Amino acid sequence: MLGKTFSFMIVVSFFSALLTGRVYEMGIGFASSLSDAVNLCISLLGMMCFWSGFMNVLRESGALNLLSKAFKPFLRIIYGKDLTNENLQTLSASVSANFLGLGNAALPLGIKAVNSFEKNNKTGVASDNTIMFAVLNTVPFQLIPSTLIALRTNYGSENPFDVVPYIWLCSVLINVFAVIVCKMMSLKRGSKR
Amino acid sequence: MTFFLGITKYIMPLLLLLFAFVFIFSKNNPIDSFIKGAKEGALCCYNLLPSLLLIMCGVSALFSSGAVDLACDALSPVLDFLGVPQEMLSTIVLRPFSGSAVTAVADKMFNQYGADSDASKIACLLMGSTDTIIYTLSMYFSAVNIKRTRYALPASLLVFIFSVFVCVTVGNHML
Repeated sequence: MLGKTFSFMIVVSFFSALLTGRVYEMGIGFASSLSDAVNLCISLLGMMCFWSGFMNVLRESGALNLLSKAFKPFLRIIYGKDLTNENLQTLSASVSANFLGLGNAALPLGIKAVNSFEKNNKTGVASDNTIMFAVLNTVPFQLIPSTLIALRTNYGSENPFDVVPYIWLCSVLINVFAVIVCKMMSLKRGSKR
Repeated sequence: MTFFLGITKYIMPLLLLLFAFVFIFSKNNPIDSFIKGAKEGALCCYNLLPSLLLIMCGVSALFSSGAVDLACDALSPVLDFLGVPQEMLSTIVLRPFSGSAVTAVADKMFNQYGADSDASKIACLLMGSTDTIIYTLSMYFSAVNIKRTRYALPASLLVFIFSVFVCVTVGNHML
């Protein structure tokens, strides 16, 4: 996917640059995008280390087990019945991080969850559970969207919170749709692991 | 209602406090397991860099070459037909590609049309219920070295189109 996505973006950009006459800008943008990627990686590094360590401590102290018990029924509906204990623990940690709006923690914890799905997979082909997880993470459910509320407050909204219940409604509808789409596509294309 | 925003400020410090308690009361050596986990995290980050480079390079090319502007122009009549406010056009086009660009565009939009305008509210719904697609997918898949992602991209694009539809419908009929 990565290679094709990259090629697609570059080919589209090149011809757009010819059309808009911004060929030079495209070349300039390239150099700065590389250092942006490195900067992003460095800022991720601290989070990755901290949250991976945090999770390891929680797991070995047994706190994660309690959390995963609470999430188990709900996760089994989405991901099917053959989830291992490790799957359940990492999934519940990542779902709670998203829910609480800890975007910084959600990514490292999510990567742990995907890791637990693909541990014994040497083929390089994504499993249905990983795809479900990744697709659901493009529409994360957040209890209190604090960035948006701060933005609305800044620009003098009368009631910055009035959109929140509607965001919940949209989020729930979208998540249900996402689960259905993934289930249907996995049935259609078969579970070729 | 500001009570809720107050709560969000406490989430992170409270988690850290919980972490401190785990360190105090845990019987098996918590420092060792923290270090072990943190090292795995560092390794994971190292593995992510090559794919991040490719993705950031591609996305930045889309912006700097003006492809995004062309896409906005092309989509404008379609979205107009579907009852989507013109003002939030760039929010929709940018959402799958870049989180920071969407925030910047929203900032401009709130400034120009006010935070309580219909378009701003619909943009809020969309921003609150979706995340970037290209970046999210490539992070998760490249972290575990997956090359064939099967239906992941088509599924998330379909979900995104549905998201736009839901947010516009909810925004137009309920807000």
